[in-house]
Amino acid sequence: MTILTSENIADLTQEIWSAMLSEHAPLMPGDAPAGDIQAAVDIAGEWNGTVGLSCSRDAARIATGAIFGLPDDEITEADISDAVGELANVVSGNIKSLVPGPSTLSVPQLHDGSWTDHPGRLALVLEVRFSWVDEPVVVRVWTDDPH
Amino acid sequence: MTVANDQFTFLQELVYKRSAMVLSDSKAYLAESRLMPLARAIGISDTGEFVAHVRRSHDVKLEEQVVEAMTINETLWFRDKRPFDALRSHVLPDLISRKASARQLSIWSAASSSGQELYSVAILLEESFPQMRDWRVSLLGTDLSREMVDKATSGVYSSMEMNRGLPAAMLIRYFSQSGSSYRLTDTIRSKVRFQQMNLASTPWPSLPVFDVILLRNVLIYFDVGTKQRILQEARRRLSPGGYLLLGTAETTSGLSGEFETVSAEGAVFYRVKER
Amino acid sequence: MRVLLVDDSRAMRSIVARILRKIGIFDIDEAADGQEALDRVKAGPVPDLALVDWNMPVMNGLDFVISVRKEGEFRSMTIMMVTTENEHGQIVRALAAGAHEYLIKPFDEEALIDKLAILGFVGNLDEASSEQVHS
Ligand SMILES: C[S@@+](CC[C@H](N)C(=O)[O-])C[C@H]1O[C@@H](n2cnc3c(N)ncnc32)[C@H](O)[C@@H]1O
Repeated sequence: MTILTSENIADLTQEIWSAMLSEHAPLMPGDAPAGDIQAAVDIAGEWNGTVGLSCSRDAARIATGAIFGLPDDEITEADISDAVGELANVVSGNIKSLVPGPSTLSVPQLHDGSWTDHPGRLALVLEVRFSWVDEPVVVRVWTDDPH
Repeated sequence: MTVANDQFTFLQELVYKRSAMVLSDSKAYLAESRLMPLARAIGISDTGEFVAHVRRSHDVKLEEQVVEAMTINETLWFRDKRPFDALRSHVLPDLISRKASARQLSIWSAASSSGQELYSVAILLEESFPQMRDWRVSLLGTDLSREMVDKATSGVYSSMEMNRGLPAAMLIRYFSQSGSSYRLTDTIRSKVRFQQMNLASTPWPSLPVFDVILLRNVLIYFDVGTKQRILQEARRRLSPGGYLLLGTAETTSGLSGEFETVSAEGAVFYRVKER
Repeated sequence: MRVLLVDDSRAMRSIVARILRKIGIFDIDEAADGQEALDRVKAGPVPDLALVDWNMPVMNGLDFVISVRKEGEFRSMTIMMVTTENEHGQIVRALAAGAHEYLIKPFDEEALIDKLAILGFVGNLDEASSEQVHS
Protein backbone atom coordinates (compact mmCIF):
# COMPACT_ATOMS: atom_id res chain seq x y z
CA MET A 1 0.00 0.00 0.00
CA THR A 2 1.34 3.41 -0.94
CA ILE A 3 1.79 5.82 1.91
CA LEU A 4 0.59 9.34 2.19
CA THR A 5 3.58 11.63 1.72
CA SER A 6 3.98 15.27 0.73
CA GLU A 7 5.76 14.07 -2.37
CA ASN A 8 2.88 11.83 -3.48
CA ILE A 9 0.41 14.61 -2.87
CA ALA A 10 2.56 17.12 -4.75
CA ASP A 11 2.80 14.74 -7.73
CA LEU A 12 -0.88 14.01 -7.96
CA THR A 13 -1.95 17.62 -7.44
CA GLN A 14 0.44 18.78 -10.16
CA GLU A 15 -0.91 16.10 -12.47
CA ILE A 16 -4.48 17.22 -11.80
CA TRP A 17 -3.58 20.83 -12.45
CA SER A 18 -1.93 20.09 -15.74
CA ALA A 19 -4.84 17.91 -16.86
CA MET A 20 -7.65 20.25 -15.80
CA LEU A 21 -5.96 23.62 -16.27
CA SER A 22 -3.68 22.81 -19.18
CA GLU A 23 -3.75 26.27 -20.72
CA HIS A 24 -1.95 27.79 -17.75
CA ALA A 25 1.60 27.36 -16.48
CA PRO A 26 2.08 24.25 -14.31
CA LEU A 27 1.60 24.18 -10.55
CA MET A 28 4.98 24.69 -8.88
CA PRO A 29 6.20 24.12 -5.35
CA GLY A 30 5.56 27.23 -3.26
CA ASP A 31 5.74 28.53 0.25
CA ALA A 32 2.84 30.88 0.90
CA PRO A 33 0.65 29.45 3.70
CA ALA A 34 -3.12 29.75 3.25
CA GLY A 35 -5.62 31.10 0.80
CA ASP A 36 -9.00 32.77 1.00
CA ILE A 37 -11.12 29.83 -0.05
CA GLN A 38 -11.02 26.20 0.92
CA ALA A 39 -13.01 23.24 -0.36
CA ALA A 40 -12.90 20.18 1.89
CA VAL A 41 -13.87 16.60 1.16
CA ASP A 42 -14.23 13.87 3.80
CA ILE A 43 -12.93 10.39 3.19
CA ALA A 44 -14.81 7.85 5.31
CA GLY A 45 -14.41 4.10 5.63
CA GLU A 46 -11.37 1.99 6.36
CA TRP A 47 -9.40 5.24 6.61
CA ASN A 48 -10.98 8.46 7.89
CA GLY A 49 -9.84 11.97 7.19
CA THR A 50 -10.45 15.20 5.38
CA VAL A 51 -8.69 16.70 2.38
CA GLY A 52 -8.72 20.47 1.98
CA LEU A 53 -7.78 22.39 -1.12
CA SER A 54 -7.31 26.07 -0.50
CA CYS A 55 -6.23 28.94 -2.67
CA SER A 56 -6.37 32.68 -3.00
CA ARG A 57 -9.46 34.35 -4.43
CA ASP A 58 -7.49 35.33 -7.54
CA ALA A 59 -6.28 31.76 -8.12
CA ALA A 60 -9.86 30.57 -7.71
CA ARG A 61 -11.14 33.08 -10.26
CA ILE A 62 -8.44 32.20 -12.79
CA ALA A 63 -9.10 28.47 -12.38
CA THR A 64 -12.85 29.01 -12.64
CA GLY A 65 -12.48 31.11 -15.77
CA ALA A 66 -10.33 28.42 -17.38
CA ILE A 67 -12.62 25.56 -16.42
CA PHE A 68 -15.85 27.23 -17.54
CA GLY A 69 -14.26 29.10 -20.42
CA LEU A 70 -15.65 32.38 -19.05
CA PRO A 71 -14.22 35.90 -19.03
CA ASP A 72 -13.48 37.17 -15.53
CA ASP A 73 -16.46 39.55 -15.36
CA GLU A 74 -18.94 36.76 -16.02
CA ILE A 75 -17.77 34.48 -13.22
CA THR A 76 -20.27 34.02 -10.37
CA GLU A 77 -19.73 32.87 -6.78
CA ALA A 78 -21.54 29.66 -7.66
CA ASP A 79 -19.08 29.01 -10.50
CA ILE A 80 -16.15 29.49 -8.12
CA SER A 81 -17.57 27.11 -5.52
CA ASP A 82 -18.27 24.53 -8.17
CA ALA A 83 -14.84 24.76 -9.82
CA VAL A 84 -12.81 24.77 -6.59
CA GLY A 85 -15.10 22.04 -5.25
CA GLU A 86 -14.44 19.83 -8.27
CA LEU A 87 -10.68 20.38 -8.07
CA ALA A 88 -10.88 19.36 -4.38
CA ASN A 89 -12.99 16.36 -5.35
CA VAL A 90 -10.46 15.11 -7.88
CA VAL A 91 -7.55 15.73 -5.48
CA SER A 92 -9.33 13.80 -2.71
CA GLY A 93 -10.34 11.02 -5.04
CA ASN A 94 -6.71 10.52 -5.92
CA ILE A 95 -5.60 10.77 -2.29
CA LYS A 96 -8.23 8.17 -1.42
CA SER A 97 -6.34 5.69 -3.57
CA LEU A 98 -3.21 6.27 -1.47
CA VAL A 99 -4.85 5.26 1.81
CA PRO A 100 -6.29 1.90 2.88
CA GLY A 101 -9.76 1.27 1.42
CA PRO A 102 -12.58 0.78 0.91
CA SER A 103 -13.85 4.25 1.64
CA THR A 104 -16.17 6.85 0.17
CA LEU A 105 -15.92 10.57 -0.55
CA SER A 106 -18.29 13.27 0.65
CA VAL A 107 -19.40 16.13 -1.57
CA PRO A 108 -17.05 19.12 -1.30
CA GLN A 109 -17.78 21.67 1.45
CA LEU A 110 -16.70 25.26 0.96
CA HIS A 111 -15.01 27.02 3.89
CA ASP A 112 -12.93 30.07 4.39
CA GLY A 113 -9.26 29.39 3.72
CA SER A 114 -7.82 29.89 7.17
CA TRP A 115 -9.87 26.94 8.39
CA THR A 116 -6.93 24.90 9.67
CA ASP A 117 -8.64 23.46 12.77
CA HIS A 118 -10.74 20.56 11.72
CA PRO A 119 -14.08 20.62 13.55
CA GLY A 120 -13.96 16.87 14.10
CA ARG A 121 -10.65 17.33 15.95
CA LEU A 122 -8.71 15.31 13.47
CA ALA A 123 -5.03 16.23 13.41
CA LEU A 124 -3.54 18.16 10.51
CA VAL A 125 -0.91 15.71 9.27
CA LEU A 126 0.17 17.17 5.95
CA GLU A 127 0.24 20.54 4.31
CA VAL A 128 1.65 20.88 0.81
CA ARG A 129 2.14 24.38 -0.57
CA PHE A 130 2.20 25.35 -4.21
CA SER A 131 2.43 28.44 -6.29
CA TRP A 132 0.29 28.82 -9.39
CA VAL A 133 0.03 31.92 -11.57
CA ASP A 134 1.90 33.64 -8.70
CA GLU A 135 -0.89 32.77 -6.30
CA PRO A 136 -0.88 30.36 -3.35
CA VAL A 137 -2.52 26.93 -3.55
CA VAL A 138 -2.40 24.57 -0.56
CA VAL A 139 -3.49 20.98 -0.02
CA ARG A 140 -4.10 19.86 3.56
CA VAL A 141 -4.83 16.45 4.99
CA TRP A 142 -6.37 15.83 8.41
CA THR A 143 -6.74 12.40 9.89
CA ASP A 144 -7.03 10.49 13.15
CA ASP A 145 -4.84 7.78 11.66
CA PRO A 146 -1.34 8.18 13.11
CA HIS A 147 0.38 6.68 9.99
CA MET B 1 18.46 33.99 -14.03
CA THR B 2 17.03 31.40 -16.39
CA VAL B 3 18.47 29.40 -19.27
CA ALA B 4 20.22 31.87 -21.56
CA ASN B 5 20.58 31.49 -25.33
CA ASP B 6 24.15 30.22 -25.38
CA GLN B 7 23.25 27.81 -22.59
CA PHE B 8 20.43 26.40 -24.67
CA THR B 9 22.93 25.93 -27.49
CA PHE B 10 25.07 23.96 -25.05
CA LEU B 11 22.02 21.82 -24.18
CA GLN B 12 21.28 21.24 -27.87
CA GLU B 13 24.85 20.09 -28.43
CA LEU B 14 24.81 17.86 -25.39
CA VAL B 15 21.53 16.22 -26.41
CA TYR B 16 22.81 15.77 -29.97
CA LYS B 17 26.08 14.26 -28.83
CA ARG B 18 24.44 11.68 -26.60
CA SER B 19 21.21 10.83 -28.41
CA ALA B 20 21.49 12.33 -31.92
CA MET B 21 18.21 14.11 -31.24
CA VAL B 22 17.95 17.55 -32.75
CA LEU B 23 16.37 19.80 -30.17
CA SER B 24 14.72 22.63 -32.04
CA ASP B 25 14.98 26.20 -30.79
CA SER B 26 11.25 26.15 -30.16
CA LYS B 27 11.92 23.70 -27.32
CA ALA B 28 13.88 26.29 -25.33
CA TYR B 29 10.86 26.93 -23.11
CA LEU B 30 11.02 23.28 -22.02
CA ALA B 31 14.48 23.63 -20.50
CA GLU B 32 13.24 25.64 -17.53
CA SER B 33 10.53 23.26 -16.28
CA ARG B 34 12.37 20.06 -17.21
CA LEU B 35 15.67 20.97 -15.57
CA MET B 36 14.28 22.55 -12.40
CA PRO B 37 13.76 19.22 -10.56
CA LEU B 38 17.34 18.14 -11.40
CA ALA B 39 18.72 21.48 -10.23
CA ARG B 40 16.81 21.30 -6.96
CA ALA B 41 17.97 17.75 -6.38
CA ILE B 42 21.56 18.95 -6.13
CA GLY B 43 20.67 22.06 -4.18
CA ILE B 44 20.70 24.61 -7.00
CA SER B 45 17.61 26.80 -7.17
CA ASP B 46 18.25 28.41 -10.54
CA THR B 47 18.25 26.55 -13.87
CA GLY B 48 20.76 28.93 -15.47
CA GLU B 49 23.19 28.27 -12.68
CA PHE B 50 22.46 24.55 -13.01
CA VAL B 51 23.31 24.47 -16.72
CA ALA B 52 26.53 26.37 -15.98
CA HIS B 53 27.33 23.72 -13.37
CA VAL B 54 26.69 20.85 -15.81
CA ARG B 55 28.92 22.56 -18.34
CA ARG B 56 31.79 22.95 -15.89
CA SER B 57 31.53 19.59 -14.19
CA HIS B 58 31.72 17.24 -17.23
CA ASP B 59 29.87 14.79 -14.99
CA VAL B 60 28.72 12.03 -17.35
CA LYS B 61 25.98 10.82 -15.01
CA LEU B 62 24.58 14.33 -14.71
CA GLU B 63 24.80 14.86 -18.48
CA GLU B 64 22.83 11.68 -18.97
CA GLN B 65 20.13 12.94 -16.60
CA VAL B 66 19.95 16.23 -18.45
CA VAL B 67 19.49 14.44 -21.77
CA GLU B 68 16.78 12.24 -20.26
CA ALA B 69 15.03 15.28 -18.84
CA MET B 70 15.06 17.02 -22.23
CA THR B 71 13.74 13.96 -24.08
CA ILE B 72 10.15 13.51 -25.15
CA ASN B 73 9.06 10.11 -23.88
CA GLU B 74 5.40 10.43 -24.69
CA THR B 75 3.82 7.13 -25.56
CA LEU B 76 0.53 5.36 -25.15
CA TRP B 77 -1.23 2.03 -25.44
CA PHE B 78 -2.12 0.86 -28.96
CA ARG B 79 -0.88 4.18 -30.31
CA ASP B 80 -2.76 5.25 -33.47
CA LYS B 81 -4.82 2.02 -33.21
CA ARG B 82 -4.70 1.21 -36.94
CA PRO B 83 -1.20 -0.30 -36.99
CA PHE B 84 -2.36 -2.68 -34.26
CA ASP B 85 -5.50 -3.55 -36.25
CA ALA B 86 -3.22 -4.28 -39.19
CA LEU B 87 -0.92 -6.43 -37.05
CA ARG B 88 -3.95 -8.43 -35.95
CA SER B 89 -5.65 -8.84 -39.31
CA HIS B 90 -2.73 -8.98 -41.79
CA VAL B 91 0.82 -8.91 -40.53
CA LEU B 92 0.66 -11.56 -37.82
CA PRO B 93 -1.54 -13.98 -39.79
CA ASP B 94 0.95 -13.68 -42.68
CA LEU B 95 3.93 -14.31 -40.40
CA ILE B 96 2.15 -17.19 -38.67
CA SER B 97 1.48 -18.97 -41.91
CA ARG B 98 5.01 -18.43 -43.18
CA LYS B 99 6.66 -19.47 -39.94
CA ALA B 100 4.34 -22.32 -39.08
CA SER B 101 7.08 -24.92 -39.15
CA ALA B 102 9.70 -22.96 -37.20
CA ARG B 103 7.07 -21.75 -34.72
CA GLN B 104 9.21 -18.77 -33.80
CA LEU B 105 8.46 -15.10 -33.93
CA SER B 106 10.46 -12.08 -32.84
CA ILE B 107 9.31 -8.50 -32.46
CA TRP B 108 11.36 -5.45 -31.51
CA SER B 109 10.17 -2.10 -30.22
CA ALA B 110 13.23 -0.02 -31.04
CA ALA B 111 12.44 3.12 -29.01
CA SER B 112 10.21 1.57 -26.42
CA SER B 113 10.01 4.48 -23.95
CA SER B 114 8.01 3.31 -20.91
CA GLY B 115 6.96 0.08 -22.62
CA GLN B 116 3.34 0.63 -23.68
CA GLU B 117 4.11 -0.11 -27.33
CA LEU B 118 5.70 -3.51 -26.73
CA TYR B 119 3.20 -4.47 -24.05
CA SER B 120 0.37 -3.57 -26.44
CA VAL B 121 1.83 -6.12 -28.86
CA ALA B 122 2.14 -8.69 -26.06
CA ILE B 123 -1.49 -8.14 -25.03
CA LEU B 124 -2.63 -8.33 -28.65
CA LEU B 125 -0.84 -11.68 -29.08
CA GLU B 126 -2.42 -12.99 -25.89
CA GLU B 127 -5.90 -11.79 -26.89
CA SER B 128 -6.02 -12.69 -30.56
CA PHE B 129 -3.51 -15.47 -31.18
CA PRO B 130 -4.03 -18.15 -28.54
CA GLN B 131 -2.70 -20.68 -31.07
CA MET B 132 0.75 -19.12 -30.58
CA ARG B 133 1.01 -19.96 -26.90
CA ASP B 134 3.43 -22.79 -27.64
CA TRP B 135 5.53 -20.76 -30.09
CA ARG B 136 8.85 -19.26 -29.16
CA VAL B 137 7.96 -15.61 -29.17
CA SER B 138 10.64 -13.09 -28.37
CA LEU B 139 9.55 -9.54 -27.56
CA LEU B 140 12.36 -7.03 -27.10
CA GLY B 141 12.14 -3.36 -26.21
CA THR B 142 15.11 -0.97 -26.25
CA ASP B 143 15.50 2.68 -25.41
CA LEU B 144 18.31 5.14 -24.89
CA SER B 145 16.95 6.14 -21.52
CA ARG B 146 17.92 3.95 -18.60
CA GLU B 147 15.06 5.42 -16.60
CA MET B 148 12.54 4.42 -19.29
CA VAL B 149 14.03 0.93 -19.57
CA ASP B 150 13.61 0.49 -15.80
CA LYS B 151 10.09 1.82 -15.84
CA ALA B 152 9.13 -0.43 -18.75
CA THR B 153 10.62 -3.44 -16.99
CA SER B 154 8.63 -2.71 -13.83
CA GLY B 155 5.36 -2.80 -15.78
CA VAL B 156 3.74 -0.38 -13.31
CA TYR B 157 1.64 2.51 -14.62
CA SER B 158 -0.24 5.45 -13.13
CA SER B 159 -3.91 6.07 -13.82
CA MET B 160 -2.96 8.92 -16.17
CA GLU B 161 -0.95 6.44 -18.23
CA MET B 162 -3.70 3.83 -18.09
CA ASN B 163 -6.14 6.42 -19.44
CA ARG B 164 -4.17 6.77 -22.65
CA GLY B 165 -5.59 4.33 -25.14
CA LEU B 166 -5.95 1.19 -23.05
CA PRO B 167 -9.40 -0.42 -23.36
CA ALA B 168 -10.94 -0.90 -19.89
CA ALA B 169 -11.61 -4.56 -20.63
CA MET B 170 -7.86 -5.10 -21.04
CA LEU B 171 -7.12 -3.12 -17.91
CA ILE B 172 -9.21 -5.49 -15.84
CA ARG B 173 -7.86 -8.59 -17.53
CA TYR B 174 -4.14 -7.85 -17.57
CA PHE B 175 -3.51 -5.51 -14.63
CA SER B 176 -3.84 -5.62 -10.88
CA GLN B 177 -3.93 -2.84 -8.34
CA SER B 178 -0.61 -1.78 -6.86
CA GLY B 179 -1.30 1.08 -4.45
CA SER B 180 -2.61 3.89 -6.58
CA SER B 181 -0.98 2.35 -9.67
CA TYR B 182 -1.62 -0.66 -11.87
CA ARG B 183 0.73 -3.50 -12.49
CA LEU B 184 0.81 -5.77 -15.51
CA THR B 185 0.25 -9.43 -14.75
CA ASP B 186 3.28 -11.70 -14.73
CA THR B 187 1.91 -13.62 -17.73
CA ILE B 188 2.47 -10.53 -19.86
CA ARG B 189 5.54 -9.19 -18.09
CA SER B 190 7.38 -12.48 -18.39
CA LYS B 191 7.02 -12.41 -22.18
CA VAL B 192 8.98 -9.21 -22.76
CA ARG B 193 12.49 -7.94 -22.16
CA PHE B 194 13.81 -4.39 -22.14
CA GLN B 195 17.36 -3.15 -22.46
CA GLN B 196 19.26 0.02 -23.07
CA MET B 197 20.47 0.79 -26.58
CA ASN B 198 21.40 3.92 -28.50
CA LEU B 199 19.97 3.69 -32.02
CA ALA B 200 22.23 6.48 -33.22
CA SER B 201 25.47 4.73 -32.40
CA THR B 202 25.98 2.69 -35.53
CA PRO B 203 26.91 0.02 -36.36
CA TRP B 204 24.54 -1.56 -33.88
CA PRO B 205 25.73 -4.27 -31.52
CA SER B 206 24.99 -7.79 -32.62
CA LEU B 207 21.26 -8.32 -32.59
CA PRO B 208 19.17 -11.19 -33.87
CA VAL B 209 16.87 -10.60 -36.84
CA PHE B 210 13.27 -9.61 -36.23
CA ASP B 211 10.02 -10.40 -38.00
CA VAL B 212 8.55 -7.07 -36.96
CA ILE B 213 10.46 -3.91 -36.04
CA LEU B 214 8.51 -1.06 -34.50
CA LEU B 215 10.59 2.08 -35.01
CA ARG B 216 7.99 4.66 -34.17
CA ASN B 217 8.06 8.32 -33.25
CA VAL B 218 11.79 8.50 -32.84
CA LEU B 219 13.17 9.13 -36.37
CA ILE B 220 11.37 12.49 -36.29
CA TYR B 221 13.92 13.73 -33.74
CA PHE B 222 16.94 12.89 -35.91
CA ASP B 223 18.65 14.64 -38.81
CA VAL B 224 18.66 13.11 -42.28
CA GLY B 225 22.06 11.43 -41.95
CA THR B 226 21.13 9.75 -38.70
CA LYS B 227 17.77 8.62 -40.11
CA GLN B 228 19.55 7.05 -43.10
CA ARG B 229 22.08 5.21 -40.98
CA ILE B 230 19.36 3.90 -38.67
CA LEU B 231 17.15 2.71 -41.54
CA GLN B 232 20.09 0.93 -43.09
CA GLU B 233 20.82 -0.86 -39.83
CA ALA B 234 17.13 -1.70 -39.35
CA ARG B 235 16.97 -3.17 -42.85
CA ARG B 236 19.77 -5.59 -41.96
CA ARG B 237 17.90 -6.71 -38.83
CA LEU B 238 14.67 -7.56 -40.67
CA SER B 239 14.06 -11.24 -41.33
CA PRO B 240 13.19 -12.17 -44.95
CA GLY B 241 9.61 -11.04 -45.40
CA GLY B 242 9.73 -9.09 -42.14
CA TYR B 243 7.83 -5.87 -41.50
CA LEU B 244 9.06 -2.45 -40.40
CA LEU B 245 6.58 -0.04 -38.86
CA LEU B 246 7.28 3.68 -38.50
CA GLY B 247 5.33 6.44 -36.75
CA THR B 248 2.46 8.16 -38.57
CA ALA B 249 4.60 11.19 -39.35
CA GLU B 250 7.59 9.13 -40.52
CA THR B 251 8.57 7.56 -43.84
CA THR B 252 11.52 5.88 -45.56
CA SER B 253 11.02 7.87 -48.72
CA GLY B 254 13.92 10.14 -49.53
CA LEU B 255 15.99 8.23 -46.98
CA SER B 256 16.27 4.71 -48.28
CA GLY B 257 15.41 3.11 -51.58
CA GLU B 258 15.43 -0.38 -50.21
CA PHE B 259 11.92 -0.57 -48.83
CA GLU B 260 8.51 -0.99 -50.37
CA THR B 261 5.25 -0.23 -48.66
CA VAL B 262 2.34 -2.51 -47.82
CA SER B 263 -0.91 -1.03 -46.54
CA ALA B 264 -3.50 -2.71 -44.40
CA GLU B 265 -6.31 -1.28 -42.28
CA GLY B 266 -5.11 2.18 -43.23
CA ALA B 267 -1.67 1.59 -41.73
CA VAL B 268 1.55 1.52 -43.75
CA PHE B 269 4.24 -1.10 -43.21
CA TYR B 270 7.62 -1.31 -44.93
CA ARG B 271 9.25 -4.45 -46.30
CA VAL B 272 12.59 -4.94 -47.95
CA LYS B 273 12.26 -4.81 -51.74
CA GLU B 274 12.91 -8.08 -53.50
CA ARG B 275 15.69 -7.92 -56.01
CA MET C 1 -24.13 11.95 -32.39
CA ARG C 2 -25.80 12.78 -29.09
CA VAL C 3 -23.97 12.75 -25.76
CA LEU C 4 -25.36 12.88 -22.23
CA LEU C 5 -22.97 14.20 -19.56
CA VAL C 6 -23.85 12.98 -16.08
CA ASP C 7 -21.85 14.67 -13.31
CA ASP C 8 -22.88 16.65 -10.24
CA SER C 9 -20.11 19.12 -10.94
CA ARG C 10 -20.98 21.79 -13.50
CA ALA C 11 -17.25 22.45 -13.73
CA MET C 12 -16.54 18.90 -14.87
CA ARG C 13 -19.45 18.94 -17.33
CA SER C 14 -18.09 22.15 -18.73
CA ILE C 15 -14.58 20.70 -19.18
CA VAL C 16 -15.92 17.63 -20.99
CA ALA C 17 -18.38 19.60 -23.12
CA ARG C 18 -15.61 21.90 -24.29
CA ILE C 19 -13.46 18.97 -25.45
CA LEU C 20 -16.43 17.39 -27.22
CA ARG C 21 -17.26 20.61 -29.05
CA LYS C 22 -13.64 20.95 -30.07
CA ILE C 23 -13.82 17.63 -31.90
CA GLY C 24 -17.12 18.47 -33.51
CA ILE C 25 -19.65 16.95 -31.12
CA PHE C 26 -22.28 19.59 -30.38
CA ASP C 27 -25.40 17.65 -29.43
CA ILE C 28 -24.70 17.57 -25.71
CA ASP C 29 -27.20 17.17 -22.90
CA GLU C 30 -26.41 17.31 -19.18
CA ALA C 31 -27.73 15.75 -15.98
CA ALA C 32 -26.53 16.40 -12.41
CA ASP C 33 -27.20 12.95 -10.94
CA GLY C 34 -28.15 9.40 -11.87
CA GLN C 35 -31.87 9.90 -11.36
CA GLU C 36 -31.97 12.96 -13.58
CA ALA C 37 -29.99 11.05 -16.19
CA LEU C 38 -32.39 8.11 -16.02
CA ASP C 39 -35.37 10.43 -16.49
CA ARG C 40 -33.63 12.08 -19.40
CA VAL C 41 -32.88 8.79 -21.13
CA LYS C 42 -36.43 7.54 -20.63
CA ALA C 43 -37.93 10.74 -21.99
CA GLY C 44 -35.72 10.36 -25.08
CA PRO C 45 -34.20 10.77 -27.51
CA VAL C 46 -31.79 8.14 -26.23
CA PRO C 47 -28.20 9.44 -26.37
CA ASP C 48 -25.60 7.49 -28.32
CA LEU C 49 -23.14 7.92 -25.49
CA ALA C 50 -23.45 8.67 -21.79
CA LEU C 51 -20.40 9.85 -19.83
CA VAL C 52 -21.13 9.08 -16.20
CA ASP C 53 -19.50 10.16 -12.94
CA TRP C 54 -19.61 7.66 -10.06
CA ASN C 55 -20.13 9.72 -6.89
CA MET C 56 -23.24 11.83 -7.20
CA PRO C 57 -26.12 12.71 -4.88
CA VAL C 58 -29.61 11.11 -5.25
CA MET C 59 -28.47 8.24 -7.50
CA ASN C 60 -24.84 7.39 -8.10
CA GLY C 61 -23.38 6.49 -11.46
CA LEU C 62 -23.12 2.77 -10.86
CA ASP C 63 -26.80 2.58 -9.88
CA PHE C 64 -27.65 4.56 -13.00
CA VAL C 65 -25.81 2.02 -15.14
CA ILE C 66 -27.56 -0.86 -13.38
CA SER C 67 -31.00 0.77 -13.75
CA VAL C 68 -30.58 1.76 -17.36
CA ARG C 69 -29.28 -1.67 -18.34
CA LYS C 70 -32.43 -3.25 -16.87
CA GLU C 71 -34.37 -1.58 -19.65
CA GLY C 72 -33.54 -3.49 -22.78
CA GLU C 73 -34.49 -0.66 -25.12
CA PHE C 74 -31.51 1.47 -24.09
CA ARG C 75 -28.97 -1.16 -24.99
CA SER C 76 -27.85 0.86 -27.99
CA MET C 77 -26.54 3.54 -25.62
CA THR C 78 -22.79 3.34 -25.01
CA ILE C 79 -21.75 4.14 -21.45
CA MET C 80 -18.37 5.33 -20.21
CA MET C 81 -17.69 6.01 -16.54
CA VAL C 82 -15.67 9.19 -15.95
CA THR C 83 -14.71 9.28 -12.30
CA THR C 84 -12.00 9.63 -9.66
CA GLU C 85 -12.91 6.14 -8.45
CA ASN C 86 -9.97 4.19 -9.75
CA GLU C 87 -9.73 0.84 -8.05
CA HIS C 88 -9.41 -2.25 -10.18
CA GLY C 89 -12.40 -3.81 -8.40
CA GLN C 90 -14.58 -0.81 -9.15
CA ILE C 91 -13.69 -0.89 -12.83
CA VAL C 92 -14.66 -4.56 -12.83
CA ARG C 93 -18.02 -3.71 -11.20
CA ALA C 94 -18.78 -0.92 -13.63
CA LEU C 95 -18.04 -3.08 -16.67
CA ALA C 96 -20.01 -5.98 -15.22
CA ALA C 97 -22.97 -3.63 -14.69
CA GLY C 98 -22.88 -2.71 -18.38
CA ALA C 99 -20.49 0.21 -18.83
CA HIS C 100 -18.28 -0.16 -21.93
CA GLU C 101 -15.37 2.06 -21.01
CA TYR C 102 -13.80 3.75 -18.02
CA LEU C 103 -11.88 7.02 -17.80
CA ILE C 104 -10.17 8.00 -14.57
CA LYS C 105 -10.11 11.63 -13.36
CA PRO C 106 -7.99 13.59 -13.86
CA PHE C 107 -7.69 13.04 -17.59
CA ASP C 108 -6.43 15.27 -20.34
CA GLU C 109 -8.04 16.05 -23.65
CA GLU C 110 -6.07 13.40 -25.53
CA ALA C 111 -7.11 10.70 -23.08
CA LEU C 112 -10.81 11.45 -23.60
CA ILE C 113 -10.34 11.46 -27.36
CA ASP C 114 -8.40 8.16 -27.20
CA LYS C 115 -11.32 6.60 -25.33
CA LEU C 116 -13.87 7.94 -27.83
CA ALA C 117 -11.73 6.36 -30.53
CA ILE C 118 -11.74 3.00 -28.73
CA LEU C 119 -15.53 3.25 -28.64
CA GLY C 120 -15.59 4.02 -32.36
CA PHE C 121 -16.97 7.54 -32.01
CA VAL C 122 -13.91 9.34 -33.30
CA GLY C 123 -13.01 8.20 -36.77
CA ASN C 124 -9.58 9.09 -37.93
CA LEU C 125 -6.95 8.32 -35.38
CA ASP C 126 -3.92 9.95 -36.85
CA GLU C 127 -2.70 12.46 -34.35
CA ALA C 128 -2.66 15.18 -36.94
CA SER C 129 -6.32 14.77 -37.75
CA SER C 130 -8.18 13.65 -34.65
CA GLU C 131 -10.78 16.22 -35.65
CA GLN C 132 -12.80 13.89 -37.85
CA VAL C 133 -15.87 12.44 -36.26
CA HIS C 134 -18.41 9.81 -37.21
CA SER C 135 -21.89 11.19 -37.28
C1 LIG D 1 8.22 9.77 -28.35
S1 LIG D 1 8.94 8.30 -27.67
C2 LIG D 1 8.23 7.07 -28.73
C3 LIG D 1 7.83 5.82 -27.97
C4 LIG D 1 7.12 4.76 -28.77
N1 LIG D 1 7.94 4.18 -29.81
C5 LIG D 1 5.84 5.30 -29.37
O1 LIG D 1 5.78 5.49 -30.57
O2 LIG D 1 4.88 5.55 -28.63
C6 LIG D 1 10.63 8.46 -28.21
C7 LIG D 1 11.62 7.58 -27.45
O3 LIG D 1 12.82 7.51 -28.19
C8 LIG D 1 13.88 7.41 -27.29
N2 LIG D 1 15.14 7.82 -27.97
C9 LIG D 1 15.53 9.05 -28.32
N3 LIG D 1 16.75 9.02 -28.90
C10 LIG D 1 17.12 7.72 -28.91
C11 LIG D 1 18.29 7.04 -29.37
N4 LIG D 1 19.31 7.72 -29.92
N5 LIG D 1 18.33 5.70 -29.21
C12 LIG D 1 17.31 5.02 -28.64
N6 LIG D 1 16.18 5.61 -28.19
C13 LIG D 1 16.10 6.95 -28.33
C14 LIG D 1 13.49 8.33 -26.16
O4 LIG D 1 14.18 8.00 -24.96
C15 LIG D 1 11.98 8.08 -26.08
O5 LIG D 1 11.67 7.12 -25.12
